[in-house]
Amino acid sequence: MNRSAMRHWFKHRKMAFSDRIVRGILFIVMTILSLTYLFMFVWLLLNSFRTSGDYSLDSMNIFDFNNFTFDNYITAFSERIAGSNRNPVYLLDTIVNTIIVVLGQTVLAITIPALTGYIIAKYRFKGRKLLLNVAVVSMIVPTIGSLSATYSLIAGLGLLNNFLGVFLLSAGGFGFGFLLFRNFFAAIPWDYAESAFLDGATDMQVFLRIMYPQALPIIAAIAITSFIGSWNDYYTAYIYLPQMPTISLGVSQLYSTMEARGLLPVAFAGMTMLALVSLLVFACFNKLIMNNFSAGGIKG
Amino acid sequence: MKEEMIKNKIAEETGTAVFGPSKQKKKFRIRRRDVFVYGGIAWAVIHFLVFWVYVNAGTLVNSFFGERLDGSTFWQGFHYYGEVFSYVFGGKVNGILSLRSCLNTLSMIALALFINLPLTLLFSYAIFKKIRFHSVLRVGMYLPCVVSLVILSLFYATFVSGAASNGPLFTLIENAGINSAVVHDGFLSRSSTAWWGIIVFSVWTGVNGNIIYFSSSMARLPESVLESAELDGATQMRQFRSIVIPMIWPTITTMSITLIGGTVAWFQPVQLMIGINSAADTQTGTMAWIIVSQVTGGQAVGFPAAFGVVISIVFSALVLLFKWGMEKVFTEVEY
Repeated sequence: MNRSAMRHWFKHRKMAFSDRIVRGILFIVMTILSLTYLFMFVWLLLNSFRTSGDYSLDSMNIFDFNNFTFDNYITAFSERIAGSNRNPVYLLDTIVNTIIVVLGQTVLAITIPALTGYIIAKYRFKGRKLLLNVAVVSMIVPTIGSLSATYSLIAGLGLLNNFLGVFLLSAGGFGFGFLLFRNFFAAIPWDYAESAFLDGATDMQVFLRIMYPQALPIIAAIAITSFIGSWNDYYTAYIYLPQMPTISLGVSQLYSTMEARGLLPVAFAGMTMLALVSLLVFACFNKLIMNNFSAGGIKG
Repeated sequence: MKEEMIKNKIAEETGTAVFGPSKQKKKFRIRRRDVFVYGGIAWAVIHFLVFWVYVNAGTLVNSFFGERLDGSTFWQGFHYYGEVFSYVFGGKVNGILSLRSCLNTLSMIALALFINLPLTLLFSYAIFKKIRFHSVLRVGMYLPCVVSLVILSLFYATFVSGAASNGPLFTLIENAGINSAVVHDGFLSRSSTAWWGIIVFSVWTGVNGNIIYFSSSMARLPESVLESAELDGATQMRQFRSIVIPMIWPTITTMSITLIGGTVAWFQPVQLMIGINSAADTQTGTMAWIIVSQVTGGQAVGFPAAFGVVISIVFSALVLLFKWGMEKVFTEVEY
């Protein structure tokens, strides 16, 4: 069968009955799931513009805009959500904290693992295999087991409620990002580097000027997922930044306060803002994220 | 000249011969390369030594010590290991410190591996095979990975809350004229339903986490293999079972390991939805939550360290066993 005949056959082939059934079921399940996620955003967004009284009367009547209000957003920003009377923490403070954490963690995610991944993918040196095993071991042993000592270490260094402590914890060279970079660089031909070496380039120049730029799509994908991950991260702030909460922790505290006062729509306003940023970033870059992880692949 | 440089380069790479005048140059270049290689990985190694080796060793040491009120420590031997085993096997209960919390974590791991992971693979395959509206569904299914667990958890907690919080589910069911005590009180407030409610939440938010990785791994599969299977009359599900799964098996293994690690550390949604005050009554504690609540409560040595050591040993062994088993199922295929 020639190429065009094959293409014609693939285009017009009849799908097996069992395949059609399975595809139909999967389509229905995936559609329902996607709709529930969408419903969550719509429900939160619309309820954030309703008064607490209206919400209490009927939480599902989300298109009731008789008492449409922005007050929930104003309250969300003006209420103290953590800290003390002397050092109150407002939602805006949590956003500033989050921006600092996000920027630091994103830069770390695309630099240190990239260099480690590149060196291990492209150079043969003593201890290389050991380092590969280190990367695997660090993924195998659950980090929660050593939380008590990690917490003591950070506290002992005076880095609790300090961005530097969070950055130190995130500055590892092994882990998931390392695997992505290592697989990516392993797949890049070494020819350009060879020519550059012949022209007198140093190893660092080759990495920075030739290899790293080639990894731009995967760097962008990792940067964006890291940005979203850091923006949404609750765990790190809960443990290491309890007095300097990021927006995820701040919104959870706002929820507790507002739930106790019967003002849940104010919490929904905070939740909408928390969701909005990551959704906007995802909306702008979803093709980049979706298409570029294939370049790295994930193999242990 | 260039030819000689190429020869030198080859010699340098292979280490087989040295060509004439550039012997010193070669040595210098190799030294410079060593500086780049070892200097480049130095930070990663130091970080690993401090934040992995040191903290794990520290956890082990801390597990043998108790702490006085003034912060000084004293030798306790295996006392805390005895405590851990009396909670896990001896029926001892103190708040969320119980066998039930350990079983909850294990049930979450089983759920992640045997329900969520296969479903994720099926959804990824459906996207790969371009089912109707696959581009839209790919984005739709990925949405929970984009938003914070805080939003998902608090929305879910609100949604299934009962009459006291005017939960949407309660409102919907009440509007439909159905009267149920479970819905009236909320799913998460009763010990008989709370963990089931959390399991539903975990499926709802956990069936899509790795879609992006699986569908991209499937996209890397050689088209010719799947085309010939199709020409031979293999159905799409047959191709999934016999070609796709074996060929992306290393990816499945890696993602399963990260899933296990993530699930052992899983506590945030339960903490957000149930709260520490109700966790013991509703029996919704997890192993990670036990450690986190003790550590953030100011207790870093003794029990949480011993519990951490037990978790690290048991789950590392479990992961290694799992990895070994997975590698036995299918051998890695290069393509």
